[in-house]
Amino acid sequence: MTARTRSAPSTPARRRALGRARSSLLAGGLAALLTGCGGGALPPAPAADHAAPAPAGQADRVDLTGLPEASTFGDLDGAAADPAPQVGTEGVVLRIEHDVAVHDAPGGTPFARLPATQLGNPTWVPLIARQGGWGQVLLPSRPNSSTGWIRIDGAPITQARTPYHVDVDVDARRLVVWEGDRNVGSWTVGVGSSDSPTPRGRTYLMAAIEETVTKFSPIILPLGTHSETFNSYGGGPGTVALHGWPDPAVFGEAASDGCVRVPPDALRLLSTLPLGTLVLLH
Amino acid sequence: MHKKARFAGVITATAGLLLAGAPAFADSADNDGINVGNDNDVSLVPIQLCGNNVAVVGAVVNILSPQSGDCTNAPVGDHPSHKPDHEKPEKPGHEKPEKPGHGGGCDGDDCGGGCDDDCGGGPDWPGPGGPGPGEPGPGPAPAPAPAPSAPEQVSPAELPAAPSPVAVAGHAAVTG
Repeated sequence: MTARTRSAPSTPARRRALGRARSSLLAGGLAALLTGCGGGALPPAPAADHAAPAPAGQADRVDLTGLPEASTFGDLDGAAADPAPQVGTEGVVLRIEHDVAVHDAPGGTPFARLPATQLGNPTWVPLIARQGGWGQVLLPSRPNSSTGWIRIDGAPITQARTPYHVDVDVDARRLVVWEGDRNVGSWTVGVGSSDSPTPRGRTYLMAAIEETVTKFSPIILPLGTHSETFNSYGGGPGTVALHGWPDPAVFGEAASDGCVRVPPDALRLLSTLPLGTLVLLH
Repeated sequence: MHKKARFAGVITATAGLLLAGAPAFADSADNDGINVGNDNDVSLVPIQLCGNNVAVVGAVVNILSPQSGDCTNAPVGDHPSHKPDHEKPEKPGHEKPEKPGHGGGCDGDDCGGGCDDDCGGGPDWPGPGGPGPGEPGPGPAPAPAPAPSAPEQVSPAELPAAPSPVAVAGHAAVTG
């Protein structure tokens, strides 16, 4: 005899309702039991991990949903400006293996998502500063000289070093490739006209494109900077690049729409430099 | 008997629902359906659960290769330009040029990863613990995991050389 049998007599409708309630309780109890045995999600991270800035060694738990993309197409109003736009670095470059959050400060508010690829190339960005497990990097978005902080330690990021940097004296129309302190090549180049000047500042080699549409250069090396004259250009966001030009008369002239036009042998060398290599436009 | 049959039915239905809700497996960034680090020349990657997903965690140590194996030769068609070379590129009038629009958020082979830079916690991942409260333990609890310490900062000179790029076939709409 069950407890229900011993209770006060009930109507058939009431018995059916009680039966449904009992079935629901039984199903819920079974679900809780099976979930606890590993059939469902892991328990959420403790709230403290979300509240305080992540210390070194801890994971950067950020929901990337809704964050604007830090790419050449992006416009990141919240990005801090490069604090030293004419200073070289130690050549450390970071390969972004998976999309990562970009913060306004170490442990600060995320304001962008740095994707793992840029124009089909793996994302490599130059490290310009470091604080504990955080690194400040140049970003390829507008406004020019945008920077942000990303977690380095405990994150899917590969660190490497490039011994090269590219120095472009825009006024002198001169490009030099340095390997450490060694000048490995210098050329007279074409730069932007007075109406569409080549932007000044510290940027980097963002991608390497084997061009299939336009014919003026077999290889185009988009930089992490943009024209300050054109917000859009040829369907793109006005990205400035290093590239060749079929007419050598342009070398030494300020006649481009912002890009730096280089001779063929310069382009061959530049095409071998690692992505993330610093390019100083001054 | 009717009640026993109903209870049995509830048990069966519940078990079926739970088995159907198997955890999803997140794809890695290369979106090729393979979760374990691949497409790198050599990758040593520990794997651990990240919420409901299995995801790649920890630092990926790339053995240096002349070219990055992550490059795919997928054509870059972000903003294909059909402008002949001899045409003057577009220029604005006296009004301020408009802001660019996005041609699509997808950059090529990696159309988002859904997983942020934290795909697992490394040293702070809560590994299997000892008996819970109130449960009779089978024996002494295992030693707690060591507290995570700040990793040593590698000198730039000790870092591997960054690889030369592999140019990706496609179109880059640059200012020219």
